[in-house]
Amino acid sequence: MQVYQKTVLEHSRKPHHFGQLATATHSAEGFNPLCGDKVTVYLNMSSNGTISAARHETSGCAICMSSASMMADAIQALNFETAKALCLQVNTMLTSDSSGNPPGMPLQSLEGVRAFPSRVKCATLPWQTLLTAMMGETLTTTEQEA
Amino acid sequence: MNSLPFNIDSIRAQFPILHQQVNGHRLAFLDNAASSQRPDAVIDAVSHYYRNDHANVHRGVHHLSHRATDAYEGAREKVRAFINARSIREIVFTSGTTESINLLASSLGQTMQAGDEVIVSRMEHHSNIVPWKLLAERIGIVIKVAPINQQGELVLDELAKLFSEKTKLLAIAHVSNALGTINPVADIVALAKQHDVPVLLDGAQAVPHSKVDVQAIDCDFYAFSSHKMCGPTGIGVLYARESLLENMPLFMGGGEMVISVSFEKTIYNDLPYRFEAGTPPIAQAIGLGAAIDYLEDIGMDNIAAYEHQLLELATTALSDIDGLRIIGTAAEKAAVVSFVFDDIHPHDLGTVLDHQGVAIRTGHHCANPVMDFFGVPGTVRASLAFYNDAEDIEQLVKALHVAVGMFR
Ligand SMILES: Cc1ncc(COP(=O)(O)O)c(C=O)c1O
Repeated sequence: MQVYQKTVLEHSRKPHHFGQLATATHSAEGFNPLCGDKVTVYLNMSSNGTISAARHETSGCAICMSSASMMADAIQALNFETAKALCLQVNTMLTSDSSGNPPGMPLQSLEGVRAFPSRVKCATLPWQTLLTAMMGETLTTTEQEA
Repeated sequence: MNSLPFNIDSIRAQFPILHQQVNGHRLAFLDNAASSQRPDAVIDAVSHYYRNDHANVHRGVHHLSHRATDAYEGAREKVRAFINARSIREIVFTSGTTESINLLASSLGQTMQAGDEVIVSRMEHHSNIVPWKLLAERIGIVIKVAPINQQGELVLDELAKLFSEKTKLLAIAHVSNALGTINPVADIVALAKQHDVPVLLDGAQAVPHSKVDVQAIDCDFYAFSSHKMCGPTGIGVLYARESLLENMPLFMGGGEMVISVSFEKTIYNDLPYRFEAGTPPIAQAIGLGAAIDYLEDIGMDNIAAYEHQLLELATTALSDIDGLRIIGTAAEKAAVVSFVFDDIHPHDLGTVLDHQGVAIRTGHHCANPVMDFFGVPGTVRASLAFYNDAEDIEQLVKALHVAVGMFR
């Protein structure tokens, strides 16, 4: 099955950057009320907008977990604008047929989710939560637009 | 399996939808608690009605209106006989279990005041929680919740303690959709009678799987849905004891529920029509009637016996899978097996199973309080019907092994 690629499974079994960040300057919780998935994103953002540290606490399915894990890998040391652009890139990859500018590996291994419409929100939830945290807000759900 | 009470292959042959490939595999449809499938007899009855008999009911002097009315009212009589109500005056057609419960809550709510109590249980479907929560918000009634134990059984001693002078209703599931627990409804009703409290049973998961006799149970209200018992969607039933229904405040207003209307005075129709405003779901009622004929032809006792064999087969086979934990192990169970793996999320299982043609439900099954009680985000639920067979269960088990191999 395309959706459960080796990379995805590896990240879901051993998620990277998992846990709280005591010194977080920004954090947000994201919920998927339909399935109970929950992602908390913790960021340390310096005054010039660089993400100096990112962690997440995720309880959810393999797709949600690996998406959060890869996201945390990808955004370390990015600045605000680049991280935001990456969020949009991933979102486009997961939700639209027109192939936009792909986000590169390993994030591209999540692309298979698109064939499973009921699971797309599992993959987008961490990113939606990240955007929420970066905007200085604290709560989001998959039933509202980020 | 032991000797079967009917020929399963000829039963399966009557359900056209079962004979298709899904994702390149034989379809194993194990999501019957969410909605069942329909046999040819029901599909044909609905189609025959639309092709030959349709007109609005109770209104025309013309021929088709008579035919439609006879067929519609004939379905009501079939429902009455099926659950052994005393009279068709006690059979209100609704759009389903949810509307049946909302009808009752809205009507009884007009007679309740702040501080009045309604008892429900921890294992209720959201449709038997939210209507009462709405009354709590609107008029300040208090909801008391009867607990369940680790097997997913109602704790009767604790339920008994919840009755008070202020209790206006006990509203409880006959069979739990999330756990499969069959509640001892006759005992529960007897208990409520000691306190003079009327009882609503949510029979959505009971009526499709065993003989239900509302007089033997002695409940006051009984709600169920056609679509879970091989009938069409969009219709359900509220059985209500006539002596109570007679004095209940009305639910919706419109045509059908009145005899004459002027701006000075309205004369309301007789029972049960007073509670059925507007053009009813006529074709759906006729389809439901056909479903009842079909089920009675097979025999509800045969269906219950066969499904019990399937349940035992499934329970044994699933228990053998490493790390699989069954949620809901009541002594009395309908053919529902909810389960979890501590290391694999239900939605991942659902997707992998679907990929192998196995349709099961994953998630909270509209019963969040049950999931919270067992401390799980959701479960995987296989719910069986009399048209399932041993091959469906083998396919489920095989697909689960594939999933386990993939995620571990
Ligand atoms: C126990 C129970 N009650 C109520 C309902 C609601 O039924 P409906 O959606 O047909 O109104 C269901 C259906 O899922 C159920 O299983």
